[in-house]
Amino acid sequence: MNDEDRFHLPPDLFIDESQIFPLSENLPSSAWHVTQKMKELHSRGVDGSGVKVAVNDTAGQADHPFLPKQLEGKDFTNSRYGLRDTHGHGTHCQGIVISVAPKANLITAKVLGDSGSGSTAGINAGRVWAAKQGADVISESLGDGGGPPVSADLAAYDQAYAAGTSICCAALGNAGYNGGNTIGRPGSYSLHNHGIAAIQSDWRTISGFSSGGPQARFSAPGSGIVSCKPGGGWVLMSGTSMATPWQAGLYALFISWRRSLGFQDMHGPKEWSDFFIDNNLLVDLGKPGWDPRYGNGLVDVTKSFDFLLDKTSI
Amino acid sequence: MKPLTLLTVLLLSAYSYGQTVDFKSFEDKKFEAITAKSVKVEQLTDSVFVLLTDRQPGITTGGLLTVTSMKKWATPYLENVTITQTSAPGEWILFTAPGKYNILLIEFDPETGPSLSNHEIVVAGNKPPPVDQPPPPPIRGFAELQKVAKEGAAKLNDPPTQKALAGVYRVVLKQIDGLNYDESLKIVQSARRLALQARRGESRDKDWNTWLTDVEREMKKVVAVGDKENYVLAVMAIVTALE
Repeated sequence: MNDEDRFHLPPDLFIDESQIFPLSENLPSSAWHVTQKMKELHSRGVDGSGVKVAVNDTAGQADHPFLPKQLEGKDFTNSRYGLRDTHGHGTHCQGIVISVAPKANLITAKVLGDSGSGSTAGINAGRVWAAKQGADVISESLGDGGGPPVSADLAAYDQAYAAGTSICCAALGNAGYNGGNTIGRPGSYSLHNHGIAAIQSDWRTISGFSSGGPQARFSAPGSGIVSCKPGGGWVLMSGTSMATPWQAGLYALFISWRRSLGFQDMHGPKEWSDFFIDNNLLVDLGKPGWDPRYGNGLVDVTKSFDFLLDKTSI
Repeated sequence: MKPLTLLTVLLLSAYSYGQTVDFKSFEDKKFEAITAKSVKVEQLTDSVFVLLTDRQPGITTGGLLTVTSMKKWATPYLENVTITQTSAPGEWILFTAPGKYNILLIEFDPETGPSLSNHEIVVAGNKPPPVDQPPPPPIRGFAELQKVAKEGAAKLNDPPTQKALAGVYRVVLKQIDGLNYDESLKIVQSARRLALQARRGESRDKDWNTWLTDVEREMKKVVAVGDKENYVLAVMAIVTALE
């Protein structure tokens, strides 16, 4: 396979152009992926403050009214447009991060070109670069058709964690599930990241397009997600691409809140998974326990933050 | 253009030893004077923005600035500067790194348009404590609390965080004067969150939560819920332990 073509946006990404919303100041009310409980948390200061989230994608529209200024950006695709997002996927993913963690800081490695595809070398270099810029969370809504692990990919993850990144998230893919394994890389690198499946707006039904297999880790909102559109305004998209930045934003909330309570940072996918599982902070979806479509289920935001609630007087 | 009455600087205070924080406010300038290179300017109703630019490295120490405003804040990122919301009126800006900062405070009014003020903040000083200074006397009734706070902090071996905690606790002791117990508690908590959230590098791998839990346990032994007077003394005891 030509390395330049290996990584791409998940093939069945749904972009509903008929549902482009006019520019407005706040996230539209149809954004079901941000619950009232999450808004309450934001108002209590659980907002991702001080956490750096890298969205490695098609870059992002830096001047979208909903998005903060991006801390750092680098183009790994040699695009003639540089860090401008002419595709829209990265801008949408960044908007999802900010809707979940409004005060998180954004870093952008443009690792997918203007057509939405990128190279192994660029993806891996972008991951390491983002980590060296101080990214606490790296969100990658991209993937290939699946296959055995590639040592260079894993080495890039190792370098990212060594540089201080707390957790990497990757989309499982939009190939549906056939009872086997339809997860692409890097979503299948379960020892190196959290592969994220997509669920629908009832918060419990898997999205039909969501890939499945042994490496599925968690589920997150991914169907009919309203977020930022290049040029201003909003657009509806569906995919595990949308579920991944939602999960990344959630991790930003955790990191920020844990730091404010004096906890040590968590490092790597196992530590994060153990934290949620050991403390019973998950909503079990699908078959009881882990399953190949939903993974370990959905992180229960309410229970999680009740768990972390500040009960001290000083 | 409307004057920036909402953006008066309420309090400036340095924390830790011998530090000084100076500031100078300039006259209002036209909005056009702002360059957008350092932050996105988002024109929302009922919003206040702060721009932090021109940090100059090499000056030592840190500081805490409180600016009053009940409005929504946009918070651009700058390494070593943390802006946080508290339950008290105002916003706290914690400078965990030394330097000279130029702060632009911007208010958007949908009818009158934007207005701004410019504050130059210079954080300088950082005199170490005298080597031969005797340790502060224990605060009567709080000796065990001081001991737990001091030994716990020493075990963590994280001077930057210890210094920041001592600093913000000391600053808020002035702010809670005249407030009731519940109001005081919220402000003290907010200050602690701010200091711990601003940790960098190796400090992020230090378990200050255990310190917090141990100190909290001792607090409960000596401060009854609602007892503002003893609460203040207990926080003072913690400050002396951390310093």
